[in-house]
Amino acid sequence: MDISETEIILSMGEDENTRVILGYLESIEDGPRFMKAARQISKTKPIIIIKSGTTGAGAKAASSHTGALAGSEHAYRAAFRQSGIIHAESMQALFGYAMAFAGQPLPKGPAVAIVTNSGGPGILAADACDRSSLQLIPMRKETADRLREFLPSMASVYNPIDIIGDASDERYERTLEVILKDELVHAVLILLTPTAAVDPEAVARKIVGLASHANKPIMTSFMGDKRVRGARRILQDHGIPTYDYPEDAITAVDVMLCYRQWLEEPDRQYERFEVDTRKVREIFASVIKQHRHDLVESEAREVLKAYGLRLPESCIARTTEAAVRAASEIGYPVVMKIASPDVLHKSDMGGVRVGLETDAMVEEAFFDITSNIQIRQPEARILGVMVQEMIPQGKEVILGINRDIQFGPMIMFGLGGIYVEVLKDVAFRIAPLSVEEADAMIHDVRSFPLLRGVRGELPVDIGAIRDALLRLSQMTVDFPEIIEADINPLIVCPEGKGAVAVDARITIQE
Amino acid sequence: MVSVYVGSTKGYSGKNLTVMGIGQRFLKDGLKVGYFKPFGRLPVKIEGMLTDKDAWFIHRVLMLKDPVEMICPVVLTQDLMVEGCRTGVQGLQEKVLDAFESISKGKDVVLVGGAGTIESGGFLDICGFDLIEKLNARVLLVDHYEKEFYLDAVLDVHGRLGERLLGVILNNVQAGYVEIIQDMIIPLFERKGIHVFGVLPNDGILGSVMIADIVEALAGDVLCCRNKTDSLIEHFLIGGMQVDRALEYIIKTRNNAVIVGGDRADIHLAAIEATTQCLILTGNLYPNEIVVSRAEMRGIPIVVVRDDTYSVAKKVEYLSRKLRLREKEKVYCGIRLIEEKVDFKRLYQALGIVV
Repeated sequence: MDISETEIILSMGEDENTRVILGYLESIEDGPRFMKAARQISKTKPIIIIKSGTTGAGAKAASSHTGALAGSEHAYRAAFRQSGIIHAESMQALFGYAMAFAGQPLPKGPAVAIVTNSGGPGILAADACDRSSLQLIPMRKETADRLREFLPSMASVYNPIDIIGDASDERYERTLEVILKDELVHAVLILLTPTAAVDPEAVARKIVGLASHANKPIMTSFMGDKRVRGARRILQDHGIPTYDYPEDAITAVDVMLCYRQWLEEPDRQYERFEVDTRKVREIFASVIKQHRHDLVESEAREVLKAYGLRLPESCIARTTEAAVRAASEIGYPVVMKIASPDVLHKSDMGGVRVGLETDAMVEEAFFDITSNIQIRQPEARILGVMVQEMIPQGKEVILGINRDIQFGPMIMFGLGGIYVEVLKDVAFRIAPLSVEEADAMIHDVRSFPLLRGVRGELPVDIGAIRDALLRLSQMTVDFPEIIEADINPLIVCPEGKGAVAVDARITIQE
Repeated sequence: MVSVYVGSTKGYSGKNLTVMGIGQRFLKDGLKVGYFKPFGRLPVKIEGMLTDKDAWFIHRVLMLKDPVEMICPVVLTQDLMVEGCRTGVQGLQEKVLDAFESISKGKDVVLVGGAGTIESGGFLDICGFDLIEKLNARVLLVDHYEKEFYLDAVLDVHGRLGERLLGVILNNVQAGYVEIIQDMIIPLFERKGIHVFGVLPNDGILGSVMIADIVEALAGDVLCCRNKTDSLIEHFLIGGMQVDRALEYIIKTRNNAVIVGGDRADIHLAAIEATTQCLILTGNLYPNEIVVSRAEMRGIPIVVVRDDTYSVAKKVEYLSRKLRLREKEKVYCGIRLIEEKVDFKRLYQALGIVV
């Protein structure tokens, strides 16, 4: 009988003697079931997984090993994140995290205090904090005053707290006593480099003594080899994580904090919109009947409309005269685009004109668009030219659907143009999306501040993006036959003004 | 004044090139040459005037002086297409005749460029057969030899045109077929009274495609060596095999481009080492930096396209069938080929022209 990763997680979840679940994964048999199990178990104990085969070369090796297809890296990352799984990037991280979770309580907040007998490692740890979600808060006055009572004047009582090179185990102990009492400190990192004045093993024993009644995580990094070996053994034997370098310790605390936030996350809320599934089913049936996979633009528009997305007013014009008429009915300015099932990359082929403000401009655009396609893609069937309302100023974002072989439908979000194409600044989640997940993915992209508005710009309607993401998510769950779709771009207007899907592509499979 | 209609029984057979080749020779022999294309399908505006892209190019290659609007009196725009179907368009034949009259003034010979096939334009009442009659033209058919279908098609045209059909030029004939043509086809045609004015062998350069055209047709993204995109590709290879095999295959093939998935770094590097002319990466997958920098060092353009490998292969196949007229090297190669392989003495005789 085959035992899958899902069953293992479930049984380890129930096992009272297991505090932390560690895993090495090459592939997953049933993505949705795995996610469901992980989501349930990770609420009671941490699951840390290293996934191999996330890169192209790794996937090739993994597939020949297990005979299973390795899912894309994006899908794994999204699935892990959405089910509370802690993703270890390396074996070192896997065991480093395990050590932290197994031996220490979770931090109650992001504030870290660093105690060191040497400046350099302290600064490195501070840098690592800065790159994480942790904060290096300055010690409050009472704590600083108490430290000053016994620390030499050369020492720094702020954070990192540098108790300088001549520190003995006693100085470490007294410093720790003060810091552990400070409720504003959520985690402590103790760094030690061997000096003539310090006995590492004595320091380790002092830490062990204090740790037993500290209710916050204590991490250590004793650097050096032979001289700290004994001390590290003492720490490890008492469940105090000790790392080769300070950065690893900081990362472990960061991961613990993320896990705590996962535990505290409220139950997800799923919103269901009223949509016209019948309409969509009809469109898909007719496409399949014609043995097509790609929906033409008008069909894609109908589908999105049925799911409540706002689309610009538009109409297909077969002749110049009809285009001018349509433009004046819609109202200037307008956008014009080639309408052809054979032209997938319209603007690349010269099939798009924007900002047309007069009849003459529409006439010219009609000629240019149809001639460009006739010249560049003579085999393309031209249905006419789509004349469309020009969407007011806004930010362009891209929404997409992709079907992952192991996890099923995946939703993508990113800012349009170079942000997606060049910087690959995108966020992925496995559908169905909860309201919180939709929000989180919008915040996830690095270019998010551009949506909130920079240099005096108005913020865009982020609620409208969330709404569109949720509607897409619902659509992909309702219609598993959608294998790929994108709304590119969705123009998001200033706050309260909504968002408009300008161009859409949908590919389905029977 | 005589007029010669250059037509074909199938599209993309080499009509434009034949017109240019014959036109050049006529000019060289001191004839006053006129050219026009009654019906064009590639609408462009030159100095605000509607004309056909290919016709305009030929007009310039032959360095003719006729007004732009006369070069192609009927251009199939979207509007004309719709109107032609919905209600029909009156007066197109007259338009063609007026243009012909203007072009033919003071000329010894007018070359009339056919569109598509000799039947094209029928839905607008201006198909080749109609116009040949109206223009009192003699006809030269240019076609690729494709088994007996071709013979039937030519004999059918002969049956309809009779004496007006001067003869044929066979284009793009593979090396192995030349003998069959001499042995079987020419005797058949000559017996029926159809002259064979020339047999143009298949030519690597003529069938080649400029990298820039591939980029345009596939809406590709050029990652490096943009200045090398004017090179011509004669062969396309699909890099689907193991690296060692691919290497062998690439080295053996002249002026090739390799079409391969964007994630096959092994093939990319092998192709670069084997100095392919161009790497076409499919599936909108971008290669890693090492590949790009190696290609840059070797001066090999990398083009990333969105289509999958099969669609790309289909599209480039189509491209190589169609002669892109802006490739000068190809045009002059074609003109030279016609000069060498067409029996002009016999053509002049058939046209009754003395030079």
